[in-house]
Amino acid sequence: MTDAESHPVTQPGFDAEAYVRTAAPAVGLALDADEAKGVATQVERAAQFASIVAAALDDPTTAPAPVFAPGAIRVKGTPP
Amino acid sequence: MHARPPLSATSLASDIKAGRRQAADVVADTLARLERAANLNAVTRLYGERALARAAKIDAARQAGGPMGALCGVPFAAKDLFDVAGHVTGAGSRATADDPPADCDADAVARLEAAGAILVASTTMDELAYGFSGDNGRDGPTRNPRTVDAPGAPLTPGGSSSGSAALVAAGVLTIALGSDTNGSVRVPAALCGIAGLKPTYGRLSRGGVYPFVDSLDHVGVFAANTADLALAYDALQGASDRDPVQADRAPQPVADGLAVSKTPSSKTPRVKRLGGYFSAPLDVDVADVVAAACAALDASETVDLTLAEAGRAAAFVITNAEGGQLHRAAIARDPDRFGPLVRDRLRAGALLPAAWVTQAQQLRRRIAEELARLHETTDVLIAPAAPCPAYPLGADRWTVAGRELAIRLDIGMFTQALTLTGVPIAVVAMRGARSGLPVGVQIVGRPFREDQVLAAAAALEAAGFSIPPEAGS
Repeated sequence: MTDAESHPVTQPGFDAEAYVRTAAPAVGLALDADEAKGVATQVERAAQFASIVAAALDDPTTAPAPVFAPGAIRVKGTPP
Repeated sequence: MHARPPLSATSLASDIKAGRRQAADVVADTLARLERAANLNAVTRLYGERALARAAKIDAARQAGGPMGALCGVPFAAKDLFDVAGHVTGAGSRATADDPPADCDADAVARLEAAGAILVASTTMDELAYGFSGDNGRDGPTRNPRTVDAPGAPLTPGGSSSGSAALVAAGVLTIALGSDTNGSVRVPAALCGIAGLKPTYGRLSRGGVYPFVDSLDHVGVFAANTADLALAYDALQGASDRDPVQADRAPQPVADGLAVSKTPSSKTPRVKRLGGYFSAPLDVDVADVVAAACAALDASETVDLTLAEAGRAAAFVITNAEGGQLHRAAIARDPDRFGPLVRDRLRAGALLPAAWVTQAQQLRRRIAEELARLHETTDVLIAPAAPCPAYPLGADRWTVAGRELAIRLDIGMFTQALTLTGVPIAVVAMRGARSGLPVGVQIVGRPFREDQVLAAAAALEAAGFSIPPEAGS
């Protein structure tokens, strides 16, 4: 079992197609059945990558980096 | 005269400054070369009239004894996502067809021209910069010039800055502009066998560049050699009020120091190799070339960026989410304007749960910290640029070292793993002994230490990491 498989970001039985059909109207996307299937394939792929991320994060209090400033990232324990 | 192959940007500018060549002749020659290179499918638009007019001004200025820029008379091209005044910025997509024409040039185009360079063409790209394959539903695939006349299926030049890389590798141009979000300069530089630079995130203005993933987008540059790369990079530096995330830093020119550092000295960068995630899968040629690079730079120690795989995954999620949001309204309004290689991916990106994206942003901080720790004891790190050399255009699956890869995605697995850190990374290449195809290595530096990255690139170039441009165009 890979780290990603042991740290899934979705519950077993997650139905990506149903998720896409339900969530698409919330962001203004109108999808027919075939389109929803294609988008669901991509959501499943993103879920696999998101699971790899989740498996690597051992501290849920880690500050995110929404505004990125190269050179300003301090190593933990180093004074500013 | 028109059969004369292009020299380096450095020598071309020197010839024009000295009056040994006329800028107008160089531009006319280049336009003819671009026509002859049509089989590469690397150009989306030519700017013949504009370029010739600019060349005439440069020739007149020289005759009048006026100041001449470092790149005077050097033709260049820009990826189809750089604004060119008076033209709609295509970004390789039908989705942009109704956009208004740009009212001025992108900052990067303007800066190169301020140094005397001359824009001659816009170049092909993966649609909306979302891909590594060099394939495009609107424009068709771009071909890798290293293999274009070889028997068998044509090979990919890599993407998304495919046309710019192909034209430099073909010897049509000496420099070209690209952009790099997850590897869109680094992958095509490697697969086409030229030098490429993705500077530090925020170093160069993205003003007038069609965005893809704002938190990851970089302006980058290609050249046939590291001296030209440095010259172009220096010309591109400078503050702009058009890019809200540009770093508040004065320009740090590197070209002059690069010439000095080609001789071994105490300033030679300390180098280590990135192992772990970057160790597999590797084609035999890639493994050999990375080993050769480490040997040439005395990089005997291997270190592990333990979060590399997660960093790649986080970059995927952030890219998908930001790209999806950027195009969400347009794709909802008119989905058929988006090509099949991007349409469903962008829709999916618009639907990703916030939890996934936030975790990816947390991971970004962690991997930046880890890389900063590694850089405490080394100046640059060496890693493969791609798991394999160029693969057949249009392929979805490709086996490397016994592992089947989703090659449209995985050709960027090693560049994407580093992209969240925002550090400067150069690529140089040499031919693999087995395939004969170009193989690139990444030279990974500290934030804003492009000087060290390019010094290491120049050292590798001196050790044989250089493939002359094709002379067939």
